[in-house]
Amino acid sequence: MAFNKESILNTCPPWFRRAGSANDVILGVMGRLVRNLRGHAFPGWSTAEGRRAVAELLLPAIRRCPGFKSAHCAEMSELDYGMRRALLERRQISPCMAARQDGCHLIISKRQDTVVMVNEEEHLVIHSFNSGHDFRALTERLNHLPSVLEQEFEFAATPRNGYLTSLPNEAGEGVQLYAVLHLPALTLSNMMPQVNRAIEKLQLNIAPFYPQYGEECGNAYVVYTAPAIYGTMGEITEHLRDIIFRLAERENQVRDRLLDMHRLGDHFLADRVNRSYGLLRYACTLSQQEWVEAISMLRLGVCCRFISPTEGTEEELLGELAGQLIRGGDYATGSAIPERAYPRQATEPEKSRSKTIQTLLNRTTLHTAPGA
Amino acid sequence: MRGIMAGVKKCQICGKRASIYLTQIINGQTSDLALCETCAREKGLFDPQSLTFAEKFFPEVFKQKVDKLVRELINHAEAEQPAHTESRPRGGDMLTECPVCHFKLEDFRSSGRLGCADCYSVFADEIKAEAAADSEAEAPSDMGDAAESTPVRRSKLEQQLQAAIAREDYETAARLRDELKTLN
Repeated sequence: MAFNKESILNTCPPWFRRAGSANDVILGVMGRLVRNLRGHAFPGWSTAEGRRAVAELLLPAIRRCPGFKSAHCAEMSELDYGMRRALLERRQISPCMAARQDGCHLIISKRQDTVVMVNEEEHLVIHSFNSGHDFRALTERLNHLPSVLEQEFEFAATPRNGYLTSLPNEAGEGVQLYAVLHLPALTLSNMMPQVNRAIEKLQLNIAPFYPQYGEECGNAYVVYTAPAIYGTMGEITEHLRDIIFRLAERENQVRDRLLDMHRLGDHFLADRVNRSYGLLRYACTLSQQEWVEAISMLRLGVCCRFISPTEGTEEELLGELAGQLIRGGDYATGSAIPERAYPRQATEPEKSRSKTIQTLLNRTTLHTAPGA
Repeated sequence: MRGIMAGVKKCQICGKRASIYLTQIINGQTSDLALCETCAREKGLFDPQSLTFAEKFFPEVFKQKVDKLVRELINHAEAEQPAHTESRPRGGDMLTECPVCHFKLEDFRSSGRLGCADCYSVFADEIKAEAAADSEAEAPSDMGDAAESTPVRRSKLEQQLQAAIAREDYETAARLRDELKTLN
C-alpha cells in the first residue's frame, strides 16, 4: 500500500483515543525494538547501495507479515519536511529517522500502532504503542514481526552480548520500554526533583514528554528503561511496571492530600483547575503550550471531581483528555505557531483546538466543590 | 532518547572520555590531542592549582611537553602491528580496521559506534576497555579523585556540597559532609 499522508494525519490512532482509559496516571506505553542483519554494515556506516540492499531483503518479508499487508510504506526521501515533523511529533519516528534519505524506509501499520523503520540507526527498528498500561499487548506486538523475520534472516547476535547494535553499550535484549505518565499533583507539590533522583537510582530514566516547552509542560513525563538493561523482556517489563505503579500510587496520595487541603480552605488546586477551565472556555486563541497545560489541569479536575461529564462516563472523558494531552493539540504545525500579539488571525491548529475545546467543554460541568 | 553522548572524543592514551583538547599546527601540519584529566596530569600538562590559563598554554616548557607527547603518540601509532596478542597496550597490536566493513578503530574512539557486527570481535578489547572506563567513571569515587591532593579534593567536595544543597539533594549533601569531615 502506498503512503497516504492525509489518511495518516487525519486519522487519530486508536491508542491516542483510548489513552489512559485504564488508569488515571498512566496514559500509555511505548516500546522500541532493534535488530541488525548479520553480514551487512550498520546503516550509519554503510553506503546508500548497502542500505538499499538491506531494504530489498527486509521490505518484501515485512509486507508478507500479517498486519502489514495493507500498511503505509514510503522511502524517507519521498516524505517532505512537514510530514517528517508530524511523524516526529507523534513519536512515530525517531529524530534519526526524520533525517534519513535514500535506502531508508518507513512502514506504518493501518491501525498506526506499530511503525517499522528500515535502516534507521539499526537495520530494523520497531516502535509500538498501546494505551493504558497494557505491557503484554505491547510486547506481543513488538515481538511479532522479529519472530516471523527470524525464520528467514539471521539477526546479528552473540551469546555474550545479546543482539548487536551500532552502539556497543546498547547491545543486549534490543528493547527499550517507555511509559507516559501524567503527574500533575507531584509537579504542583514540587516533588519532581526527588522523583527524578529516585528513578535514576532504580536504573530507569525520566524525561519531560514536551521537552521543547520546559521540564514540566503539561505535567506529562516519560519513564523509560535503558537500552541495554540486563534481563529478559519479561524482567524489563516487570521492573518498569513495578516502578510506574509505585509512582502512580504516590501521585494519587498527593492528589488526596491536595484535596484534603482544599476541604480545609486552601483553594490552590481549585484555583488552578478553574483558571484552566476559564482559559479553555474564553480564550480566543491558544498556543500549543497553553493548550497542553490547560488540558492537563482539566484532566486533574476530572480526576479530583471538580469537573464531571454531562454526557458519557467519567472514564471516557479521562481517556479523551489523555488522548488530547498526548496529541498536544495538533500535528505537524502545532509546535511551530509563531508568538504574535493579539488581536490576530487564528492559525489552523488553533481553530482546530478551539473546535475540540468547545466539544469537550460542552460535555463537562464545573463544580465549585469536589465530589459534588 | 539515545545517542546523547555520540561525538564525545576519547582520551588517546587510556580511552576514557576526553576533557582536554589540544591542537598544534607546525609548518602547516595539524596534530590533535584529546586527553582525559588523569592522563593529562600524568604527562605534566595539567595542574590547575599551579598554572593560570595563559601559563598553561603559552610558556616554552609547556610547548616542549606537548611536542614530546605528540611525537610519542605519532611514533606509537606508526609502530602498531597487525598481529593480535594478549598483553598489549591499548591500541598497540590490535587490528585498526575491520576487514569486513573497513571501519577504523579511530572512528570507534571518536564516535563510540561500530560499523558492522564483525567489528564486535575485531575491536573486542577496545569495547571491553571502554565499558570498563565507563563503569569506572560512573562509580562514586574514581582513580582521579584518589590521586588528587587533599586541598584540591577538599575544594571539589565543598563545591559539590554547595551544589547538592542548592538542588535540595540532602542525601548526597550528608555523604559529602561526612567525606569532608574525614578529610579535615
